[in-house]
Amino acid sequence: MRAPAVGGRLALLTVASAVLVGLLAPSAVGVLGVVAVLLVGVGVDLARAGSPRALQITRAEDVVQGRLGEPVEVGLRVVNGSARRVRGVLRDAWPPSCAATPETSALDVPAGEGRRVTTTLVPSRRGEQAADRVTVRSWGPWGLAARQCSVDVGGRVRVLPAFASRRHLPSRLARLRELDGRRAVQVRGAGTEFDSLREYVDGDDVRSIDWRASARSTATVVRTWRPERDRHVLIVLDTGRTAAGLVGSGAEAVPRLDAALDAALLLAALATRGGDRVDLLAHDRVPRASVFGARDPLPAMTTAVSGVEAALVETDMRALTATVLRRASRRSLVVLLTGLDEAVLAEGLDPVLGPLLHRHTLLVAGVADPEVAAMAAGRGDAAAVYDAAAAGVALAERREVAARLARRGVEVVDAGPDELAPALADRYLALKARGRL
Amino acid sequence: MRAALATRLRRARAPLAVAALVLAAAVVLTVLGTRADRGLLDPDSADPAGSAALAALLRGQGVTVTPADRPEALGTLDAASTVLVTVPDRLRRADLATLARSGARVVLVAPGPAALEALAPGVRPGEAPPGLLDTETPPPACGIPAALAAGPVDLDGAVYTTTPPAVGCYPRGTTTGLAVSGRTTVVGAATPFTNEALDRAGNAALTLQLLGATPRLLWYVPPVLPDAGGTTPLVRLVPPGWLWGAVTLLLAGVVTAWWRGRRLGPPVAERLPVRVPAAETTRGRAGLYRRLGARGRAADVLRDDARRRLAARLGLGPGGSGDALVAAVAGAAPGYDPAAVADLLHGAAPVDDAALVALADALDALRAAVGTTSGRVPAGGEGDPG
Repeated sequence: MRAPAVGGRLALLTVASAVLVGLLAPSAVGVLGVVAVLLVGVGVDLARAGSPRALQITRAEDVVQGRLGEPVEVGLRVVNGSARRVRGVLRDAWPPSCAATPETSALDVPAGEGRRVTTTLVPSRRGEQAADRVTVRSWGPWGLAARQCSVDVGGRVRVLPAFASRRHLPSRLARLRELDGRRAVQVRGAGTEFDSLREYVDGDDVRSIDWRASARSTATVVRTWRPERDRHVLIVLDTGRTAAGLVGSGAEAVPRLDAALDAALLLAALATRGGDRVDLLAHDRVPRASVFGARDPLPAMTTAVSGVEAALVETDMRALTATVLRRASRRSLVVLLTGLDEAVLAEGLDPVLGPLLHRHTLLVAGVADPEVAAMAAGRGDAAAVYDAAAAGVALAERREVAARLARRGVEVVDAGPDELAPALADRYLALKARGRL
Repeated sequence: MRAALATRLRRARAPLAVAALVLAAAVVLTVLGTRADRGLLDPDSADPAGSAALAALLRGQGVTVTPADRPEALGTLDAASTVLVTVPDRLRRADLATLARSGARVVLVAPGPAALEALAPGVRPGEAPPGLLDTETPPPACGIPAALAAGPVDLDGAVYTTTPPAVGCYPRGTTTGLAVSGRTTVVGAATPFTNEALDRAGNAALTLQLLGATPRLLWYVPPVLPDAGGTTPLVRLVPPGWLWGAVTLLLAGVVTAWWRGRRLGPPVAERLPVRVPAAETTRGRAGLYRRLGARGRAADVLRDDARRRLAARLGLGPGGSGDALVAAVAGAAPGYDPAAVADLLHGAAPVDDAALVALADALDALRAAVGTTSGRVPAGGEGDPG
């Protein structure tokens, strides 16, 4: 049996007995006497405490799903199978980043009955977290001592990315509908696929008049166009070394990977609504997560990327490209979300650009660091100006990388963590409008 | 948050109550204790328990009264002086030895065994016989001139037994309230010296004779000082009957530690991902520039950046020649002549850090000047912002 727990009452009683010994029996016999009395009290109390081992503790749900930063409730079912009431406290232990509240719950289960204990988690980390053991401390009726045991009842919480860029979705969807021709605005060039014929109205581009159809009809008829549909977008997340870097400063600093995830989810949501097929691949040296051919890609992707963390390895661009070429058989828009930080990327990507560009349209999106931008604007004293110079070098390198990629025909989006998601969505819409998918 | 605070407060209720109780008791005891002791036999105190009146009388008789509360004062004593020790139990062994060597007349007020042994051989603490009222003022019944002259006095404190050659006065049963041994006089109570009792019975006569016999009087109020003769073990400080109580209290401490120390389940470990600020390499490079004083390199970077932005602002291509840019900038920025612009954009490396800071500010100012005017100066076609 594990060591029992003792209560504050026992400590108080011992203090009281110290006074008693001092006043009435200042001798070794007196001390031994009170110790014996206290031990008997503890023993009786322990014997009368309900056994925590007799409790059947089960999880209400094995896997609970929640979003980063939002509270999620996890339940425990506690059934007392013994003949004695169990009164005490229960702790449902979760990893510290889950911020479980309350840390301990009072428990009072009469014999043969069951109770539900709910703990609220406010996870501050993405990914899947496993619950630790559940500990029950069952007090004796006098509160002198308690029996305690811990049991592993399993249970996990899956924390999905916060998807903070959701708020950009409605405005981008509105733009998508404008492209789509579901609204009255018809702009020539808004797509390259022939949709239907309809009567000419004021404001239509005269170049879209279908003369052959007009000749057969009494009215002037225009062709309408719609953006291409059923194109293929492959989002590739670079989860290598550069993705681990924290961008931004202070409390708002987020890993590059999280900013990239956010942008990827917005793009996936948008592209799905735009009628395109969206796949996802997370890769550093080896593929970390992938979603291919999902019918409802957004939830599948959210779940798939929830556990992806940046690895401290150099991304193997060759292997990444090979995977992309193997998995994407059709011509696709390949969106590579990466650091765009150093010439390393250009060196790693350069040799493999040819085959990629030959088969696909490539868009490289980099997460810029606002901290560096702030440093570049530093003035006032020597330290700040040296900072500004170093930041200037870093920014110039970045511009150089972007320019080199652009010269090879790669689309480049370079934005800070907050602006990346809308910027990427806008670039997607622009490509779609130009029919470059 | 507030709920959590309330829970914590509720949990801490019992310990807080105990702590408050202990604190209150300590405060009460301290206040009462200091009040009882304050000004007792203080030669400057006019309180009932003080002795300002006696000191004034002695001064009136031409006695030099020197109050002292540092043990160093005892070194000034000689045979022509008297020392009154108000709290002899606070004397350290070294002080007792100094007093014994000094040859001065010593008056001790209610001393304990240690002081008696060192200064008054033949006088030992006695036990007051029961049945005698403390307020009674017995006659001196001895041959000491001071006592004989004073008659009955208020001696309601400690009593002593004497063996010759020590002499006792004011007997109570077999004990006496005043004892004289050699040049030391032991007075059992502080009462005769106090302002309150000085005018009663023979108190004034006795004390004036005891203290005014020599031209100088050292009025010594011993400070509370640790004994120089080594430390007392902790166990000796525990009152004898409470040693076993203290053992039980120790046990209570162990139980308390057990109570507070037992966790409700083990702590949970968590694997945290690596998080490194991405700007760290940039900061490192800035530190290197600074350490090496790479002003030339830093100035080049700042100038490159300014040239790039100015060229973009004025609609010049990035590959444009330096002279064309200088001319365009000088045309667009009022108050700048081409030489100054050329110096700013292509000048020599700054000589020190202050010059570098000034250069950075000057480049900013130049860009601002071009930025505010470029709208109306079509230097190179339509300006491309940013």
